[in-house]
Amino acid sequence: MIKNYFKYLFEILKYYDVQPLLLFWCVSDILNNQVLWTDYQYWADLGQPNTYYLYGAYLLVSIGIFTSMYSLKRCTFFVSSYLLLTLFATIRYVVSLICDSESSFDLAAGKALTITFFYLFIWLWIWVKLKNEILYRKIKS
Amino acid sequence: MDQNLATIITSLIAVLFGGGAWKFYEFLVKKRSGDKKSIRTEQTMYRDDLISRVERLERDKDNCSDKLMDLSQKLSALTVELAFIKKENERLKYK
Repeated sequence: MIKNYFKYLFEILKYYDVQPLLLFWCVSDILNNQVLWTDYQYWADLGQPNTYYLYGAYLLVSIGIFTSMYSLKRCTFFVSSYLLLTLFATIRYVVSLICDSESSFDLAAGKALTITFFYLFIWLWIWVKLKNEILYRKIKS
Repeated sequence: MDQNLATIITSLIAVLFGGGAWKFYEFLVKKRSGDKKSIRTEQTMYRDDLISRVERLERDKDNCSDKLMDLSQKLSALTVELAFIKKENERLKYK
């Protein structure tokens, strides 16, 4: 029973299209973007001025995904950019966790790390699905 | 090392390895598809050959059937003729 359920989940991940999820997600990402709700000074006061620009990049890429849903290739380009940003953010967090003497690997850090890697995995999965679709379309034509 | 530099270098390495892995996967999928296509082409060729052979055999069978009909007709005519000749021969014997 449980085995069948996980098999079903695996089949959903493998065979179902990713576009509806991508559409809802990028809309949510645009609306939740910190650039819309905070200003540069807020992040400068927190001691993370570059994070504001990172969120700006996320906003641009999310708008890019939203406006290129009609074209698989263009959408994949923006998803690749988003994946790069997520990868960069994940690595930056891991590097700061390792190099920063002030930060320690406690429960909160573990939680944040899990969430960051989970997001990275999801974007990687979306990217692989889109690239796979392009590849199989190319092979079929 | 500066944290930003370390992040950039690690990201670059990850992107390069990821890109390489994707290219390798793409190569495998294309190769598998090419192999499948080649097998399909061979099967199609074999099927086409079988179709042409069946068509030729059907034609030969029709020709043979026509010849058999012709021979049967001739045999029937000869049988009738033989029976008539036998009767004629019997009649001439007792004359």
